[in-house]
Amino acid sequence: MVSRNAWLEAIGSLYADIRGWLSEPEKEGLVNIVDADKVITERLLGTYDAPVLQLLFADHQVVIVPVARYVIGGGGRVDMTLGPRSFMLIWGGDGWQILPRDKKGPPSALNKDAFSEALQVLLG
Amino acid sequence: MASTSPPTPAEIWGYYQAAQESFAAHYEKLKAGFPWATVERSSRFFAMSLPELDDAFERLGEELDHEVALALVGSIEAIFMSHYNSIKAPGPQAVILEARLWALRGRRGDDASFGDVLEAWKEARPGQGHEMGLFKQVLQFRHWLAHGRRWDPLGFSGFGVATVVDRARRLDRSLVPSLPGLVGW
Repeated sequence: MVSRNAWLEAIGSLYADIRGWLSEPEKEGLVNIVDADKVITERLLGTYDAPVLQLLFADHQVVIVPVARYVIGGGGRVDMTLGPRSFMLIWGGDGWQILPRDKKGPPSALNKDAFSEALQVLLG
Repeated sequence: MASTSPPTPAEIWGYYQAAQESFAAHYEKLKAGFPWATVERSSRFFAMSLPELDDAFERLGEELDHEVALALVGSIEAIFMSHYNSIKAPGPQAVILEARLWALRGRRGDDASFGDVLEAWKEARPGQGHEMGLFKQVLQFRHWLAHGRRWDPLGFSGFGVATVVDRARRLDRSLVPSLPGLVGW
């Protein structure tokens, strides 16, 4: 059983990567990253606060929000959403994968390129 | 190869029960194995949290109910309309029902609606009025389903397969003669 702390550390590590990938656009004033949080209750982990990232672009706001440490398939999930469009970031214990919420595309390892591509899709 | 004969209420009822059983079995399998249940990554249920899983199956159940209710009322309509279309010119011994339906055929022919046919049954059997009125509410529900549920379901919110079955059975008990296949499943 993975502890709540390990899950929150994985989210923290994910957010650190995202901040790194967005550092240039942030310096250029193209995006402003705002921290928030949400309360999550899971049968296996109880109730806890999880960090949320809000990516504020000129006309759009992308929200990166943890859903649960335990989802069907065994991973942890963070959603990256803008309106009806959404990507799922799945934590497998040793890294993150990304796939469209509608599952119409295959999952791929989450890296700067995959993240940027997903962001482009969300921002339309 | 699919059958070309229209589905009977009994067949639709059987489909409904099998679909409900399948839903329940899959739901229980996913829930019992949560979170390590084996699913393909392309599965609609992959990466769902428990609340999402509960919500997904609740919505699946509601949708199944709506779709089956629509199909069930359609199959009941088919029974009434087939009977209507088979009505022959009444002889001197004809009962009131046959005479009413034949008169309707004279006025509307194949353009008669299900509502027209039910009205003819009601005129022939005034004692069936209450059950017929209840069943006509089911027709409003069917109309709402068939036209995209795009207005508030006033008067029939909460209707579903159970309502259709209950009202079809009440109607069937009031019909003389009963129509074969209408209920009894």
